[in-house]
Amino acid sequence: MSKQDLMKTQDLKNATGLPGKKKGPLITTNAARCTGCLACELSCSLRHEKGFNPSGAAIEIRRLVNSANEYTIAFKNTCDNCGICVRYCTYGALSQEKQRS
Amino acid sequence: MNIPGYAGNILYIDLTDRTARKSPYDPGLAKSLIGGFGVNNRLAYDLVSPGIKPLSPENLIIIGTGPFNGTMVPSAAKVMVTTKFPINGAFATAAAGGSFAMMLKTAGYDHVVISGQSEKPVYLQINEDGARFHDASGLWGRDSYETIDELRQRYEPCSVVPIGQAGENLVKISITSVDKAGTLGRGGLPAVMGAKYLKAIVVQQGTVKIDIAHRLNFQKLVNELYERIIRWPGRQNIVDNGLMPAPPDMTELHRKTRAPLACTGCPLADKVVVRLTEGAYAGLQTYMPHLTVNRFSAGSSTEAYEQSIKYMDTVNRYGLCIMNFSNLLSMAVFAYREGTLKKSDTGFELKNDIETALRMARMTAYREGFGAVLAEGLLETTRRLGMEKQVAQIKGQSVVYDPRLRGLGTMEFEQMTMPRGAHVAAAGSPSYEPGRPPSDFLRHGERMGIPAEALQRVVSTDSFNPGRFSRYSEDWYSLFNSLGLCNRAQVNRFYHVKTIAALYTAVTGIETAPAQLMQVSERAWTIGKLLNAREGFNRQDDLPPDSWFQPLTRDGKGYRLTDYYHATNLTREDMERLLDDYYDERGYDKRNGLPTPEKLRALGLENITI
Repeated sequence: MSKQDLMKTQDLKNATGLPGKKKGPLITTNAARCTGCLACELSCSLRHEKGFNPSGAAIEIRRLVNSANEYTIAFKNTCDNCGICVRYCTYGALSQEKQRS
Repeated sequence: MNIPGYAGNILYIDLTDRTARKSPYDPGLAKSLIGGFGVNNRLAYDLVSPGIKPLSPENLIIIGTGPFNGTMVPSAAKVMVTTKFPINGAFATAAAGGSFAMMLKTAGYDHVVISGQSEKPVYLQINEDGARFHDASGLWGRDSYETIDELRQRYEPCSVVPIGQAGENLVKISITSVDKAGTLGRGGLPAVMGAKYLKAIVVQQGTVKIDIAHRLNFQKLVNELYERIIRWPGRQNIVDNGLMPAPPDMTELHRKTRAPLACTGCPLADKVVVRLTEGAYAGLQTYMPHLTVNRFSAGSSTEAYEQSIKYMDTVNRYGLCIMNFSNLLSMAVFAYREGTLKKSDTGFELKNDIETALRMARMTAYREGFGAVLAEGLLETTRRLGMEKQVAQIKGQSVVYDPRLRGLGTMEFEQMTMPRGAHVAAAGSPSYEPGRPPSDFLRHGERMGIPAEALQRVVSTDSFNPGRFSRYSEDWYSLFNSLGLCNRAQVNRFYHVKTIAALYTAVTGIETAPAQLMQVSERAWTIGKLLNAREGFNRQDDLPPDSWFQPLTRDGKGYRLTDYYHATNLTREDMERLLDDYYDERGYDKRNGLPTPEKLRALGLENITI
């Protein structure tokens, strides 16, 4: 039940919301840790839409109706694993292996 | 309007005619008052006639968002709702989190103005096409959580503001929530909705994009905030335990049964979902802004915890304000014990137990028997119980922070000047915690943009002036609420007025210096004050409760009214002087507590008359 192990360190210095390195490693999800903050959808939409519009995000968070705070996390075809959502997920629901440089 | 950061429209809905009209948002209005709290106040001032009754069709429900809502500015999820409140007839703005503000902007609206009165129960479905009026006869009589569940089945992804039975029955101590989590409208917003036969407001997520003027700069500022928030050692504690931790004997249990719930864009989630798997209420799942513990019986910690959860769930479902109702309930139980309240008055024996609490909550929500008295609020209840003199109230609202216990900090003082009546929100400062040194107040004041020359008056080497400090806390609150930012302590601590001004410039493209922004928030606050001055509120309504000048007995000890540091006792004259200081710092007239013509001119409000 407890949603612990928050993301403690993140490299946001280069997160710009602009198209960056694409086709990174697959993003893995841990929906049990999702708190429904939608930072992933917001950050993704900033990159794809150049403004905030969660419906235009390539990641989709849906609340399970009649559940307290359980969510499904899905990716649309437009997702190219750029990882911007992972950078802003501060609850540890999204993760991605480090890019090889 | 095409200022970045805004959706660009105001939606006007009339429940009498069943019409909805989308109107472009005037950029001048947005520039002069930002949005949210400020623009809501102005719309109320312009659109509501003075002297109307809160539960009449003439009262409006004005919903407002600000330019930060729906963006990645951390914790910008607050939606503002302004109305004339039934508890005391004051115009005030309620604030709550959840996802309503973001959803509303993606549907294309910054503000919604709801007028009139339906003939029968309806709920509103707001989306990009406007508003639709739906028959709510199937929802009328159902509690607030059932209503949300039903509407989520129909409209996800959506955000819902429902009312429970208390709102339907026009209970003045009613409250509601956004998305079950963020409480909204202490003082009877649900009764205003109930009087309009408005069971719920649903907003569906739309596809309107919120533009950002200077994207790279915006992202840089947001990243810096995220970095600081993530590194903050206190964060884990907030997410694990919430804003108000459970008492020591319940901490373990609470941690086991709770999970955090975040408002839109908030990395500091402190809302809570609780699921009980054992005990008398096994299977119960409920929501709360934070844990409130009521120890009803002498049972074990586990029993007391489970009963508290059951009680919160019940009260929230009916849509009763837990703070107001618990206060009235304990007064009634006390009066019953003293013999001033009898079984013939209540119909059953009142005890400090869960059964009494649940039964009286139901009676209050449905206005049955003695519950109809509690439903009227503090003034009516104390009048009936003959307890007027003992009770601390300001503008009909019970005092939340008693300065006799805590010393007179800003949270305590500002309960007097808050137009809404004694409340929790507007006067955050280091005095929230005891014994903080004056240097903390200096730092906090500088962060809130108090000008250097004023800071010398507000904070001295060994103390601070709560009257003068409160003026700036209120403006800080006004700023956050106009932008849509949460001003809870754990969020507010990351923001400096310079950061906010830089973010505001990056979002809207309007070059704005910190001092200009603080003047806008002062203007926003002052319009709220004028709204209430027009209703007849003045200095008399800002006076401290008489009971503050009598000792308070707690656990056999007596407590007197003292300053924050408990160094000196405060007399009535001292309190009057602090009020003078507050008005002086605001540029208001000390005699009546209202803005002077010079102040109105300085704020560009000379065309407003009181």
